[in-house]
Amino acid sequence: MTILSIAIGIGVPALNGWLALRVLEGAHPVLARWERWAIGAILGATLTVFIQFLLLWSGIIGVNTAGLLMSSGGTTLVLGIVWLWQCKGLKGISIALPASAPLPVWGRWLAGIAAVWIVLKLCTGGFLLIMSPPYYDDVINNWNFRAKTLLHRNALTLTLDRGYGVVDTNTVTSYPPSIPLIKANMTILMGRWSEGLVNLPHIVWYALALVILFWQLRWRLSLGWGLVGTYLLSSIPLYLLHGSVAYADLFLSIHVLIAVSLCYRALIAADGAHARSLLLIAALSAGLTAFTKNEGTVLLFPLLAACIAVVTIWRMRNDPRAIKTLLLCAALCAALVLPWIAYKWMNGLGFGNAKDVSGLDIGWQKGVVGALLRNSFLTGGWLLFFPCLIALLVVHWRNALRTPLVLITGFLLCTYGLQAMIYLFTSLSVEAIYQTGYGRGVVQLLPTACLLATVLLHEAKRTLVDRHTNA
Amino acid sequence: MVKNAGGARIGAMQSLRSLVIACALLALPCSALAAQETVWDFTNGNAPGEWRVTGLSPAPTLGRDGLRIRSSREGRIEHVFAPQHRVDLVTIEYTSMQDAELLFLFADGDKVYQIPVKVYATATPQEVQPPVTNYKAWDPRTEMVGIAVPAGLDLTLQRITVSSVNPVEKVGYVLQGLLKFDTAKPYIINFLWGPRLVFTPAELNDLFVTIPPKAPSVNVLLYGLIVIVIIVCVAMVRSRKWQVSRACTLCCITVATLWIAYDVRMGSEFMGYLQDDYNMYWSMPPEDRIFRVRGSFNAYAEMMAPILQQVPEYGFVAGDENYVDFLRYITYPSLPVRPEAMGTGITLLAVFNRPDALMDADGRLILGTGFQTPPGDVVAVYDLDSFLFRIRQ
Repeated sequence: MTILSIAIGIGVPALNGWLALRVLEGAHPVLARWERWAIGAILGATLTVFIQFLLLWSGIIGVNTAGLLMSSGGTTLVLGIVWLWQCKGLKGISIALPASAPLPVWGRWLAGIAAVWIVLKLCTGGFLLIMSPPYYDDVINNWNFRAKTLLHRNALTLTLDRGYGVVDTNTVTSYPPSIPLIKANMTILMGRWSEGLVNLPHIVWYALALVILFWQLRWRLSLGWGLVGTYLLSSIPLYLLHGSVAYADLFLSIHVLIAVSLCYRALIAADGAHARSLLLIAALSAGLTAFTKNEGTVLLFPLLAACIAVVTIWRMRNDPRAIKTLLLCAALCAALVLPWIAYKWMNGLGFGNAKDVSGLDIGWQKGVVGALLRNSFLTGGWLLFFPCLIALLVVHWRNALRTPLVLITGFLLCTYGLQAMIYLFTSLSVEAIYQTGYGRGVVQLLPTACLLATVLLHEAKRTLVDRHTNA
Repeated sequence: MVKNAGGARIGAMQSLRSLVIACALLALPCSALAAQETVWDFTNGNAPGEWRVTGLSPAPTLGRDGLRIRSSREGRIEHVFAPQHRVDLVTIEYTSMQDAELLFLFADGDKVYQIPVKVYATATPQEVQPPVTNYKAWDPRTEMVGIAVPAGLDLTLQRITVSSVNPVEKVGYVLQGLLKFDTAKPYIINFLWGPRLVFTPAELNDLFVTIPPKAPSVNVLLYGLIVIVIIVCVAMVRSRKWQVSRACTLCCITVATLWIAYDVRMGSEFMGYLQDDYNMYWSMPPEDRIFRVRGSFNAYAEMMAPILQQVPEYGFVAGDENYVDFLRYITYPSLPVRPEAMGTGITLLAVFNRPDALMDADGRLILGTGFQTPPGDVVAVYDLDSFLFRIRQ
């Protein structure tokens, strides 16, 4: 029963994601076969529960077997019909990756050792996640607890019973119900609450983050560099920790990676039709970001939407049909984001994360700069990532700012800058001073930052080789 | 060409040999830097120097086992001395009748500072080392040390030793510090301290116990190392001994090596969480399970949950109110209420870690706060302080 629950609970949303991606790609596929399944598993999970949320909100279904069947099965059915009608068959649905020289023998050894090390850490994380009792606050007060509440009340809920007579309103209930619904669905399939089962998707998402980053690097770089970037992300201790804890930041980070990297690929795509497919998938991911965590709605989605708009407008110079792409992306984003905003607005739910944005005191906050520097440079959670990324940006600023990479650099700098501004100038500074919020913000950007760091590292190596050859 | 290559190899070997000899010669003075120590031994009725007693009543007595301090009032003993050597480490040997917190005192000029030191009830002599070097105010040439004790403590002081730690030992403690892992505490979801630089056994023992750790991050050392490599590379390139590409390669290899070593260190810490959970939780029988900072709470909750889930609401009282969220999560949709809010119909009261909970002759449960229940019975027991109580209908 457990295996069946896992297979259906993760498999059906992945199928929905795969179908959605195929529909968006249309006659111009832009993803490799396994890349599509990996991205589909992430976006499909969010998309499926987003549709479930719409049906729950409208009162058509409840959080039960019939509701799950209607929402997940209905999504599969509708997307399947659209795909069959649009694509008329399975031929030519994937494109081949750019050719890459095979790894040298020493490279294969290194890759093998790194793979064993990554798998060891992955298994450790999996065991901790599945076997250990719930431990962290947001698991018992938010993500897992809201799943229990959804199941108990059989409907979306705006209040949470915290015990001792305390009833939460407009705190964590203002967060999107995406992850709680995923967990509730797995419980419905299983027939009972199982802590290990509902936590399982988190370690799967961690593995998918590595896989998706690898594919995004492979479109731009060789096999070896794809592996270097993947190792880079896998080696960051705090990201690994988030893979082994039932929190939402890692899940959000994958949506950000997909949106930014596909935007970047659209920017450098030679063919307008391919760029259109890439931008539509980026728009799907960006729109779903808003339904993943509150930061997604107020901070990340606007910046991702700006990236998509910039790329589309840029492409308009040579491709007049890009205006149609822009409109389609806007419509897709609106369809995904507006219902959630409307739900929040109609129920008086806040838009902040730890605090409602409207209730923040504005002014310079003492002690934040030191706290940010200490966390970034003097703790073990990031290894040497911050100084290395900064060094790469300084040394290769031309590549980072004067090539299409500026899209990724700009997005990261803007997002990180905004996060820092929030801590430096609002009463959310406590999140940085007590180190409770800053690290999670970085986790949300980490796969994208690893993408940038790896490309810049590759550029550094190329410059070095060129200089050596010329000398 | 072969001849030249051989010559270069011989040259390299000679350079290496010179380097080894130079290192050996440089290391020689370390033997002269052996640890020095001063011991104040109170055993066998010894009175090691002059110790000033303040506030202690009755006055401490010297005996075969050491200086016995059994005072009804708080007070302290102090010793002023002329330092003969640097002091990096203070070791206090004692026996005690109770667990207690002392204060280790030291002076820096006219100011007196205090460091909390925990002692535990023990009949056999134990050592405790206050992490003096973790404090900025610590003066390694301090001329006064002392101990302040709380009222009612019965402690026998055997020896106080102040000693220096030589450079070779410090390197050893640095290596041990690199390999000492933090445990899975609740804050690790937000940040991981990572390896820290410690130089004395007291700092090593205190590592990850005091939060935030006073020891500096190893990152400082790594940044320093990287900067040195970069300076060497720049110097070699400027003197035209190396090409830019060679210098850059060396920098990259240095960073990559440090990165991988750091990854292995942090990955091992992560695996340590699993090992701890296995040793303390999974492999233990349910009643003996200890889970991270929550101790025996999970074992208690797992034992009581099947009974608590049979009712919509139950009373819950614990030594720490943070447990309310955890028990509510485990028993949901059954909800905990405050014992004072237990109205009619709520008959179950879960009690966790409340040594003040007592039952009177009529079967009423009475808490230290004065709260008391109607008569009832204990229906499930985890231990003497943690159980489930049902009010008779």
